[in-house]
Amino acid sequence: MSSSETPSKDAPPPYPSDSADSSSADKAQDADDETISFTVKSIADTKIPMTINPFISVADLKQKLAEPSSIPADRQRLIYSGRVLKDDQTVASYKIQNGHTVHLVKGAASTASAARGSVGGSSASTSAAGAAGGSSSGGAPTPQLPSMAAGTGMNPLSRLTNHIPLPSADMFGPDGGMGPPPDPEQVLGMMESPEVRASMNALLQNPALLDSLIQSNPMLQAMGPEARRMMQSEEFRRMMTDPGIFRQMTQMQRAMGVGPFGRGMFGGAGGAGGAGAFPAPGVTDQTPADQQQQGQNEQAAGNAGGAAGQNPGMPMNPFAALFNPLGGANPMGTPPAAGAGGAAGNPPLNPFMFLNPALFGGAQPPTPGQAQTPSGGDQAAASGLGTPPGGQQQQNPFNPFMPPGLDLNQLQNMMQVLGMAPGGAGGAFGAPAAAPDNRPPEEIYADQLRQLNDMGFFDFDRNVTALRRSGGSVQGAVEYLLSNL
Amino acid sequence: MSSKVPRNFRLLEELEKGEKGQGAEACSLGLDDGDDIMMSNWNGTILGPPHSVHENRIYSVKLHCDENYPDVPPSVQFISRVNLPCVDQNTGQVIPTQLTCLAQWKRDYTMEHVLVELRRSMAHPSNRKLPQAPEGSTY
Repeated sequence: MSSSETPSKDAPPPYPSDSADSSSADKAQDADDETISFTVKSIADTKIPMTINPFISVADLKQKLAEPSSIPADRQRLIYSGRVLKDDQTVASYKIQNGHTVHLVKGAASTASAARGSVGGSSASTSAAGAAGGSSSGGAPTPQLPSMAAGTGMNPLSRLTNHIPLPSADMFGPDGGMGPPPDPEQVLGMMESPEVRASMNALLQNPALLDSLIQSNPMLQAMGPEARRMMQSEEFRRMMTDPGIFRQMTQMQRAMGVGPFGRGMFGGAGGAGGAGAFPAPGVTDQTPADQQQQGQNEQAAGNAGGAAGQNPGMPMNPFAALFNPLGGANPMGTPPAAGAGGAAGNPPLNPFMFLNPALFGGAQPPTPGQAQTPSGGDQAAASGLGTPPGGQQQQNPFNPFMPPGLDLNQLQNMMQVLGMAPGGAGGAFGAPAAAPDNRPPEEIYADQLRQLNDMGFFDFDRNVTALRRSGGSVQGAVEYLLSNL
Repeated sequence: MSSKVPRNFRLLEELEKGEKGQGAEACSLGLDDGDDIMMSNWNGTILGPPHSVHENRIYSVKLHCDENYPDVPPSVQFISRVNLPCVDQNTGQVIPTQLTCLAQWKRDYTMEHVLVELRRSMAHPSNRKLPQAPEGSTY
């Protein structure tokens, strides 16, 4: 190093800082000569051209990349020439040359920032999922690059079912549970059977399962820790498995003159109101894979449990899988659906009642023909989970299940997740209801609409329709828009 | 084949492909020591395939091409710990007989072939759920 000797001529022995200065100046000089240009290849073939001073650290490079790639620096993984670039090294140490390509992938958040990462993730999906009433997320929606995980066709339960004893499908009879829905007595009997309760309990107690349920559903993710807390709460679990509550609900429906499963509603005009007005849990399940079952849909539409049970192969609906063992009858899903049908259809049996936005507010009422949405998984999962709040609105039998921290706002979140308007079903009964979500669609779906616009879907009405059908999921909406061109 | 591509030409070709990022999306390849004129030691990374336990993970491997490459397959060793039937759990060495492309090596196979095949074996239904050591652990 000649630079360390030269200063002795014109300056006293340099302070350490001086020498540092001069050497960094040297480096800077070098860097000016040696700025390198390379391409950063991100997921989905996005190419980000980069021209940098090679002496910056990899961490700095990641900072620079955070914006163009919209991947936070701590989740970026840079790979060059078969090596993962380490944050504390300089770019130069990897000898990246002009014209070369560095791969950028999105990894799990590094352990140090894991907590932060997950919070960020959930808030991001909040804005994506359309954010429940009132909590408008301030951050501009970032176009989310698909993570390597993109494509969520995986059934999160598949690996769990290996070691949890589930009742065999034989119990549904030769038609695999596709027959007429079991009558409530049967279901009750089933729920009272200790095996079924035990396996339900086991399922709900398994934290891995809860995690995968929550993670597989952006809307549950959006709820953040609340979803988890709720699903873990003793009350929720008890409610999911308590035959008593189920009995209560069937009685309530009988009292309303609705068949135990709301089936009576579906023959005539009420059918439209009942079956169509609300996305009965499970109805929206119909993914293309279930084509062969479509013939059954009309009948199954109002029968949430039946519908859930009739989708044994549902690739995306974690709850369908969860409830399948219960024999085609989703014990908790059914009653609210039927009740909702009753709510919509009961007063004057007006099939178009559900079109009245004042009554249903922000509900996403699929018209009767709309039973099939591509993103059924979301809604079905949500409805399986979310039914309790629906019931809660009608009768409040479920108050105990609400964990103390779950306030009205969260309930509203829950309702949104459910795809039911707060005050929708409840309002019809004059029960105390949360404020109905009367905001216009452009407000409710502001974020999603912007995203859809960014993606090149400019037809406002169609976008709103699609978002309603998908329950606010942009991905589902896109799928719908693409499949209905 | 009318003419055999000599070893070093082949390796230079593979090097360029790796550095310019023209190879398979999920695998990356480069020389361990850029000054090694024999181009024997290589680094590779494999991005864990989606829908498997490997999702979002990055696996590092070392490849060694001896002077007979590409007439003989490279030897491959995992640096990142991975639980795969074709990987020796003590050393991370890929057992050549357990990986089809190594067992039935052809002269026109490249190291990228090996990486891609390793990745495919991670995504294989019988392997994708295998329990794995925490990310970042190495042999």
